[in-house]
Amino acid sequence: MGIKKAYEAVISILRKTPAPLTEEREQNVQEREEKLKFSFGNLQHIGKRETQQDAFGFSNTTDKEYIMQHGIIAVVADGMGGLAYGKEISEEAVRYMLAGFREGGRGSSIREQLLGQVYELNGYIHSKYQMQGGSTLIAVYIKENNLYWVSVGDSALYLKRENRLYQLNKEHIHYNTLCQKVFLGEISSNEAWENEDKHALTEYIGKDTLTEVDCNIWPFVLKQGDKLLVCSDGISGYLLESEIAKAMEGDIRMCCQEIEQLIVSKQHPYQDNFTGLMIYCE
Amino acid sequence: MGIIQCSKGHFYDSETNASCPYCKGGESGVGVTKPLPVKEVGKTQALVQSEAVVSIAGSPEDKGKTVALMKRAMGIDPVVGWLVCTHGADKGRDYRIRGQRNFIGRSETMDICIRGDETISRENHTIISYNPKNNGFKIAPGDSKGITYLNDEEVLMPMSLSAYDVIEIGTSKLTFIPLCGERFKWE
Repeated sequence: MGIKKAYEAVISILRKTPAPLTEEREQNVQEREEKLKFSFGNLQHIGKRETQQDAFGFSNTTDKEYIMQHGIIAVVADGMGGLAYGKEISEEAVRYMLAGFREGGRGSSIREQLLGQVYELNGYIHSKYQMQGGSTLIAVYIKENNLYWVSVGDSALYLKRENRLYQLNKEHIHYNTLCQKVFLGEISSNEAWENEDKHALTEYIGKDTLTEVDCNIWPFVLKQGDKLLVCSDGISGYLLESEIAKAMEGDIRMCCQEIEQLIVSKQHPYQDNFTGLMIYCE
Repeated sequence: MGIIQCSKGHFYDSETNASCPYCKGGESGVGVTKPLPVKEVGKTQALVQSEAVVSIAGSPEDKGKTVALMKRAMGIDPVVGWLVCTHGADKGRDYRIRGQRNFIGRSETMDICIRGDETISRENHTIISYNPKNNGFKIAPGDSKGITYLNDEEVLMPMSLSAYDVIEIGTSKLTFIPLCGERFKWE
């Protein structure tokens, strides 16, 4: 019996079909019916750089009717400082995602729509800048209680739920590729750690072809009390996760101020631009 | 609370900010690190100018600025090449190029500040970069309005620089003289 159940579970994952309704899933369905309200906050700082190459934006969040119909999108893009045009590309990426959200209607599902938009944006940026510049991109889309995200690069999406912090997206950095090699026994963990290019991006907007875009297959159901942080690596790369978790306690606007002050107080000599958007599920 | 959302989708407190602080690229954001204060430039412009240009590497002026990689490795931020103004308001003056990216503009906060030419953008008119890995120099356009020409050709994307190339920005012409190259490299 045990083996049969396990077999069914594996098959259902392989086929990517939903597992039969268990108690937990039923509870999720119930939770989805109680609609959440959201509040928002944002922070941005130039750090120790000469220019601000991060860009961000929320869709219209003031019109309740509009939110009910279309949902909410929040976007962060971090222009790559190592290449030219970082600032222009990050701003264009945010504008493009917000405009695409307003127009809607690409693909049948939200996932397809988000992926479609990202591939289109990448094609556009690649043809315009010819690999002379790039940007990371992370967008979260919330419709009713469902969370979807799409991410290219090393920006981060964190969820704070019941005193625990989870990173929901996968970062496209060379270190992750190296870690895979460590698991396969091709290199040692020291070699991976000491690699000079471990922070280099393996995927970014503006690349010739995107081979890997992080996008959730099933909607993630948000619960009352959840807090989301969408941020550039100026936050996720300079604070410990324990520090982020601690700073995410309390009122959402205070959280934003706290993160900003915490990073500023560290006075990191190479502090990157940093940007964070917060969404609180009431 | 005066929290409102601007047309680009940023939230800000309208009671403390007249307009969205994030739309200016965070330049006037709360608690933003401001560039070093601009020195009072009086009539003795030429003197102040040369003093600023000849600022010694690793001087207190570098505090709080992003410190270049070469500086971290060597303890100093060595010169890797020069620009010499051969035509324009600052004719006869030289400018030092250091490791990694050098931002060129009219503002004092720039790595290479060409003060005399009003037709050069204040910030980021052009970027000259030195790559210590391949020992090469490149020129790239900045994000300002002004065009940069390299040997009379418009610089639209990063281009390699070679000795005695002529860079034209605003009404000034600058000749590029490399120190690092085939015959020399900082170790």
